[in-house]
Amino acid sequence: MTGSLVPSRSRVLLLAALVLLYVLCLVLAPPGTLATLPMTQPFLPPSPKHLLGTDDLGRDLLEELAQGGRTSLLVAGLTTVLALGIGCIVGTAAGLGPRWLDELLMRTADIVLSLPALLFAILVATLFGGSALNLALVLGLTRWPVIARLVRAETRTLRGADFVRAAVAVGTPPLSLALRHILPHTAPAALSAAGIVFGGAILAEAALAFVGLGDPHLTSWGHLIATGFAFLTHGWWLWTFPTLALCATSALVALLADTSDGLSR
Amino acid sequence: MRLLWRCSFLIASVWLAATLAFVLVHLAPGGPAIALGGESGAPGYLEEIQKLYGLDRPLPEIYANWLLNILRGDLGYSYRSQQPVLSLILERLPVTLALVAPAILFSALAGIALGLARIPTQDRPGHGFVAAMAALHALPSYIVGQALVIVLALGLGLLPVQGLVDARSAATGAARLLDMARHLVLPVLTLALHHIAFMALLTRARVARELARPYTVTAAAKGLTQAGVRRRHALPNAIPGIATLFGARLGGFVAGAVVVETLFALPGLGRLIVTSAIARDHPVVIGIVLFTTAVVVATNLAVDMLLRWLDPRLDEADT
Repeated sequence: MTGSLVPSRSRVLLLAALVLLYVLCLVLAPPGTLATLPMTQPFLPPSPKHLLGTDDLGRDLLEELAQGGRTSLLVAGLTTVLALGIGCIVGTAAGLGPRWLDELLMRTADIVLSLPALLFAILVATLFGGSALNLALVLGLTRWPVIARLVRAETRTLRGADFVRAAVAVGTPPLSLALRHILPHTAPAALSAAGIVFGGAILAEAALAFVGLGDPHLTSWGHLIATGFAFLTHGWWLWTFPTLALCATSALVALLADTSDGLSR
Repeated sequence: MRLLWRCSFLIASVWLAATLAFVLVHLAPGGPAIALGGESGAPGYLEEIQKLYGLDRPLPEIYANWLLNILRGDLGYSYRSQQPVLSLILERLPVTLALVAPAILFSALAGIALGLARIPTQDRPGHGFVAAMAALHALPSYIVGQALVIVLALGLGLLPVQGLVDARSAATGAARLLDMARHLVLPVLTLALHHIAFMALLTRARVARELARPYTVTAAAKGLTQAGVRRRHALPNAIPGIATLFGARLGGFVAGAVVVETLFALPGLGRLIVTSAIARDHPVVIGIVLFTTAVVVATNLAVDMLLRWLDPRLDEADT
């Protein structure tokens, strides 16, 4: 309706930027955990030696930021893969299957969607610890209906198309019908929804880390923002740089998934 | 028939949410006995606590007992404070309601007004507006909150930084309520901004879609002003779709309240569930999950029923 905000060619660039960001985080982050980061003097302002300054314990903020980005992007990536997998399977099965299967799967999706996902993420993080895998599991298992609904709707419209009926007529088995004829056409919609799930997962992980429920061994952007806010009067850089990193990534994903379109659909 | 179907949906949602919470808290490492008795309690002491709360039984039996009590309307007693769970929830509920209800109302009204003011036209496609709203929507609520605190509370000193009341004031009655309202301005704004962006984009797209239909041309031909056509004809027809999608976000307000209550140190339900989960206070954790899911799903049901009463065409669309 309003048209896409970003032309598809620049979307490839945005995706490349996201991948580059993750690789950059992997390269810049020193191996090990939060506890093994080297320490120098605390509260050093940004300088050539410490590009983004040091934190309250004298750790280099750039290294922490890279380690945090690794955590944040890993959680979001795992969540998206999980939600995309379940969503595509359930959505395609509901779209192609008999009516009772469609009803069963979609009502289940409705019920799962009505659960307060972040509340459960908070519970899991509090009870089992906020490791990347735990968070990705709970977020992925609660967010798949977003994708399943879209894939089902697209599959339903495709079902009556001539090429699908022709494929059925020549005796294509259901599985190969789904994989070779349906999924390639539903993939764009599914990927756009996956972008929304990815962005939501970044925010959810950051919110949990902010409340203090993240992985205590690894830092994350939400965690850095929380501590940065606590030490705001000691150094502006401690809050500003993690906030910028999180906002820029979140905005990048929003543009990539064309959230404006997805939101108003 | 339809109402019956929707009510069974409600019960299924609440049951699933509560059961998931039950399974999660009971599978978690640690447990109420260790939380209450300490890791190095006297021999036999931990077992005594387990027995006292019936936790020494096999899990299916605990679950069956718990489910029976729920069906009788009994949410149980808190392990920590020995108070009934329901009274604990009701005690904290006003704070969360005072935060969430104004945020819902404000984001709905402001979002619709903003979206209505920025309907795309031929010579003004409004890409900038869409980008700005998408960016606002992509910001985590606590960053917005912190920025507001830095500027409005710490910088200009206009509003209090956190808490529900001023600890140094002994005001009662109306003065106390006014003090609370002042403390709630920033939390409500923080919770609402994210959803305002969503509502603005949604309203804009949905009203524009209605404006493409022939009846709006008739309304304009009849001599209504552009604003009149939008407000009186296009908006009412777009409202059901907007309300349904907004209703789906009510759970997001509740979860957002956990973060906002932490940021502003408000003693609401969100704080209670986090502290209870840390203390392994199982009945309270399950009780809050059950209670909030029930409220959210029931509200959605009510919105849906209201919309169907207002616009009977929705019923036909289903069948």
